[in-house]
Amino acid sequence: MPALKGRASLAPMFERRLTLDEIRFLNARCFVLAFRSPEIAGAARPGQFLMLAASAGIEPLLRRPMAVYEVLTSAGEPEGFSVLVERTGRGTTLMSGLLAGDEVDVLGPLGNAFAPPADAASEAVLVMGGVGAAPFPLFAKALVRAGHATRAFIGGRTREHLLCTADFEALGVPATLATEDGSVGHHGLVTEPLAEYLDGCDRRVAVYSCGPTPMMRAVDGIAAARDLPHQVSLEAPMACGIGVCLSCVVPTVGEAGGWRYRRICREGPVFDARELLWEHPDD
Amino acid sequence: MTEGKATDLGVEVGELRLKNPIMLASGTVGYGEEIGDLVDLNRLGGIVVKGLSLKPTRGNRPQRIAETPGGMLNSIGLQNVGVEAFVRDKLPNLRRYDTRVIANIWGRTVEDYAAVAARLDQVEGVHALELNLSCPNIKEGGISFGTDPKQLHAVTVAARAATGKPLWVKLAPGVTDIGVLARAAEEAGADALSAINTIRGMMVDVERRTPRLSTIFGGYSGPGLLPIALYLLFEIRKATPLPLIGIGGINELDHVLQFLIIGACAVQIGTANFYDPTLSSRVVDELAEWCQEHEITSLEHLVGTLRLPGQG
Repeated sequence: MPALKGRASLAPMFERRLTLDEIRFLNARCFVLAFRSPEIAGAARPGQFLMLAASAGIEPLLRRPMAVYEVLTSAGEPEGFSVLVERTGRGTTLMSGLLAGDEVDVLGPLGNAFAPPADAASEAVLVMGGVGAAPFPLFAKALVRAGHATRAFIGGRTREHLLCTADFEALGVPATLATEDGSVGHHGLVTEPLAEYLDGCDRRVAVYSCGPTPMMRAVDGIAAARDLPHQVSLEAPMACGIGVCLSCVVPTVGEAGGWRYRRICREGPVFDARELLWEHPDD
Repeated sequence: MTEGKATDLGVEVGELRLKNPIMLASGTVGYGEEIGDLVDLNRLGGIVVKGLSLKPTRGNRPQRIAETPGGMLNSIGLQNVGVEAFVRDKLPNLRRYDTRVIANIWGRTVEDYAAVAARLDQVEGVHALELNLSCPNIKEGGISFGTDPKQLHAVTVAARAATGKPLWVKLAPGVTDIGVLARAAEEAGADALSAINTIRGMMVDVERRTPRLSTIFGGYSGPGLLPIALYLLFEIRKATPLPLIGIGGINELDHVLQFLIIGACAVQIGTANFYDPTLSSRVVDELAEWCQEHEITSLEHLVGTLRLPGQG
């Protein structure tokens, strides 16, 4: 079947029933699902996501949005992809019970992608909390390949909640760790060493964040105060992933001082932080 | 498979002919742009676009959906681009397809409905209008257009006067006797009835002790709706001879056949477009195969063939 035609500005998306190649647990709650699909792997860009069915039946009903974690290659060609999942509810708990060989309905890749820093001299600073780390190793790989200096700030409640540290290490990307319980790295929030680093940094920086909303909002305050560009990857419950259900909207800056809803699945998941309204305008 | 004559899947909804009885329901496919990347809309009987109002509507604040056993709740708040932007920006793309385009319309007053219907009356590429009656009438103390027979009658009369295009009325399920509303629509000049819209429901976040939806309650849809929709269609069938379009919980061909046997001449697939976006086109193929296996050459021979106990 040929690639589904998208609008000219969008990459193709594929609706496929794929066989799970591998399920790999990172810790008690987080696991990686890997699939073989050269077409999805070839189309996927860092920051994009996929809709994955949690079961073969209609319980639970809706597919789950998951960031593309890895693009797996064979002889240099895209061969497969993986997603990084945290077990948080019914759907992800069912996914954690999948076995290699099981079939999973997958739609994607969906949404937009991270844009690299506008100028080649900028350092990309990636700030992540918990499972919000999922889209960043792929992005870091692209940045390193393109010659951008890249740095990671990884936060979580405990050592167990820090994800992807080995990925950044393998890429040679320096990573600063922070845990709220002090079990590893900085004892406190990831935004504290971030602010300290930016204050001591004399090069241009572009900030990227993905994680809990309070973290992203705090990162935005830090980036905005220093007039740094900041891209944010958002998530929300969504029914379709392609822009028709209108459930994943967020308030954003509109024309002439107004505001408008935009869809995380279609106009996002990556937004320029200057477009986002962290407080709902009706409040 | 039995080698029989090829089945003509064409159906007539009043004066409007559809190439097959499978349509996509309003609110689940936008204006056909995104779903058109996944499904060949040329293969379907029709597409009912997201409910249009006179002016653009922003919709409700998030949280707008909640998953439930057997389905989902939504409280989108009828977000849409407005009828002008639809005609200008969305319809040209839909006109490229060889399928029927049905404009679902709504308003907050009787005059709003009439104005949207009048705006679409002469527009090429819109083949029918479907009245969405899930909104309260703000001029009549917030009584819902869909649950009060007088309101339903008034709004249908007004829309009827504003357009010569086929006029469908989409009935809501939360009423004591849906037959009364079906007859009110018939008397007001509706050409067909579609049923059912979502049914009200709510879900609670136990940890926070808050409703899951920002608007407290929302519209329940999905597979769990099927038996309710089938029964209400049965009641509507008894109440009026108008052509009927079955909606509610369709998740496979068997569900389509149940609606047809009860008496719907066509159906709309809704929530399934979210979790299984290619279901509609698969069901068209499966319906053709099923008819051939059962030596049904025209769907006229299937629609309304329900046999009741005691009727042999």
